Amino acid sequence: MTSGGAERATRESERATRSLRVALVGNPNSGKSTLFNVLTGMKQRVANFPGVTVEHAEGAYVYEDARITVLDLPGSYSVSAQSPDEAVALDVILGRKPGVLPADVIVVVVDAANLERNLFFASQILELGLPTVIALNRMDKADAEDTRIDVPELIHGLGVVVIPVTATRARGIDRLRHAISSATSLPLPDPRAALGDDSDVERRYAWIDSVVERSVVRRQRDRRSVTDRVDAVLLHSVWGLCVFIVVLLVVFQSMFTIARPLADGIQWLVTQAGAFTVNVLPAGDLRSLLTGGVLGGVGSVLVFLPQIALLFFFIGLLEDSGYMARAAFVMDRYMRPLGLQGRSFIPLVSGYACAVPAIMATRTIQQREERFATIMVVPLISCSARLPVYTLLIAAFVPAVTVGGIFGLQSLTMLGMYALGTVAAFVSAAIFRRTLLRSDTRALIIELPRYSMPSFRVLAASVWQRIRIFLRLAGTVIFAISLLLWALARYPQPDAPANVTHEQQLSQSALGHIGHAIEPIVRPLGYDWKLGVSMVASFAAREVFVSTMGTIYSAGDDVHAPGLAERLRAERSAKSGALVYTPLIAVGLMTFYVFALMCTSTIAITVRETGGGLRGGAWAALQFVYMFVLAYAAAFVVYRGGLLLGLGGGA
Amino acid sequence: MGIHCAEPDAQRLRSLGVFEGAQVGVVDIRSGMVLDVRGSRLALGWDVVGAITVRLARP
Repeated sequence: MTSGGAERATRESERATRSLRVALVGNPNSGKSTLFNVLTGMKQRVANFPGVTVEHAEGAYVYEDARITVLDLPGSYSVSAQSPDEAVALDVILGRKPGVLPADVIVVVVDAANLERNLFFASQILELGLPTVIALNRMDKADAEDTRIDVPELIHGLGVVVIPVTATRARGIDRLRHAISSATSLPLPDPRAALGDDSDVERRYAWIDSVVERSVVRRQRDRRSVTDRVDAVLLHSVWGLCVFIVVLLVVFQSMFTIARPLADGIQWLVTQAGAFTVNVLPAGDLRSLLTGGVLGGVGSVLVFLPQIALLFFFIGLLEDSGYMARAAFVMDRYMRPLGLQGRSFIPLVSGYACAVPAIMATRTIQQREERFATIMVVPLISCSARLPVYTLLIAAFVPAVTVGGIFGLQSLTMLGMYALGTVAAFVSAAIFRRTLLRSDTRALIIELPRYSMPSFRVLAASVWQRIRIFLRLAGTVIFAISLLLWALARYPQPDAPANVTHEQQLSQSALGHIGHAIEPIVRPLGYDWKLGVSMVASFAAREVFVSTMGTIYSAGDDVHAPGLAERLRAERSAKSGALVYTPLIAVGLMTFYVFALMCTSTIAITVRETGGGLRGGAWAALQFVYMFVLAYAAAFVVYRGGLLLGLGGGA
Repeated sequence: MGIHCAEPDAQRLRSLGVFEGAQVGVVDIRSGMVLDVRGSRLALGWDVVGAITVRLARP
């Protein structure tokens, strides 16, 4: 909506004398969220598959004298709720969700090209006896498939208003708006026509068949032949897997090649802003706060944006095109031995970008134990926040030589870290499913939607939405921590600041005292107090490690001074004169970062998604502790094992 | 067709149009099973396939 449009809408809503709450429900893949966008003008996601319509989205429009609030509810196949997503939808419809007002009108979105299956859920909703309007969506698809739907006959059969619409082309929207506004003054659907619960499915489908027989004129039977032919390859046990691996490779490769220059550009801007601040402000607390605290903190988050945006773009592309459901089906048999089903694979893949949305994406897994096991292991997958840590340490300590003439040792090390996390996630999942979270693995039952060309406008809108969530969730945390760290590293200041070196000043600061206090804990891993401080600081968010190391080793104001890697390599102990950091310590440290859960956002989302409150807190605590133990043990084994093998330690 | 699997799975299948006596088309049985259920495609994982018996309908 343009700002002019927004102003007009505000004026109109001031004039609105009546208000109406509308719940938008329907099967997954019925085009519900697209219709929501068109109705309310608010941007939202289209696909439901990996649980993108989490909780409920809300939007509003003004029609005649009424302000209409629309709730976009998660897609459901049946009112006997199975997944948390479906439970949310039902709770809102029945007015059982605390804090959400019950709906005045229910709009059931029905896919005209898949009428019978969609009418199953619609008929259940009609039996609730609430004011209901049926939006018969995808009329263009039905037309293209030579399916002629006699709408008056359908209205007669169902006993409620049916409005044909094509949400993707915004057709029929005005009539739908009119129907919504007048729905409360029409006779209610007759609950006496109840067809029993889910177990009496045969009678319900017999009724649906009779309605469809009277209202649908002709249908072309083998309309799915193209999709079926494509699926013959994509669902093949060998070719399907090959295609899936190639798709993943392409996604990750383009993520790095496209995101790198963008990230470099952002880094350049942040550096320029820092240089500008140094030029215009005199040395002192304010300048230090702006360069070290604000730019260092915000900058370290902004650099990840291109990669995260791209990953969400690709995941959205795969979902909206219909491929993601196929990938879940292909991966199902490989996930079985772990006690997980194919659906768990998508959150795990999303984990390479960020554990937060990945954990949110577990909502489509119906069974609690499977869902929780997936949540517990997702943070072991190396997310994009580990990338700067790996990059810094690899650049500093892994020689840039080639192995076997093709592969660089540096990229192999990087790949090794990713593989380590992935294997650990799989093994941990198998352990969780055999101990704490034991249950039968639920069968994979998944609809394969038609392949379709994703709308880039919708994709871009959803990526933008994710970017905003990321900035709000991670940016605020990192920002606050950066400021706190800056203050801890700067105060208390020595009496004569001019005479002490940066290192002495740091050592006497609050941060220095914390570092010395925890040194005994990190000593067995070969780390000194400065590394300890960086690690403690990065328990809030991994990215902070690099900026903290930057703060600690910066000569003054410039956090992103080039050559941090070189300074780490050259760092010598003040006492013994030996090198503080060795390749062995670096590998041990990276191993620690592979396993450790160092992200407050992930902890917060785990608490929320495992039930909230004390129960959610207990799961999050377990997740944190097991990952920390794993990380410490792994780093210890790497360091001590390396020493035993004579690979050399530090100071 | 006949279905013999855990009740939550059976319930899900039913709401998707797969129930005892329903007419479905079998699209693919090489890995798992892909069914044509009233025009929509439903993919079933390995273990649920074992619980489903599809009998050839008389033309």
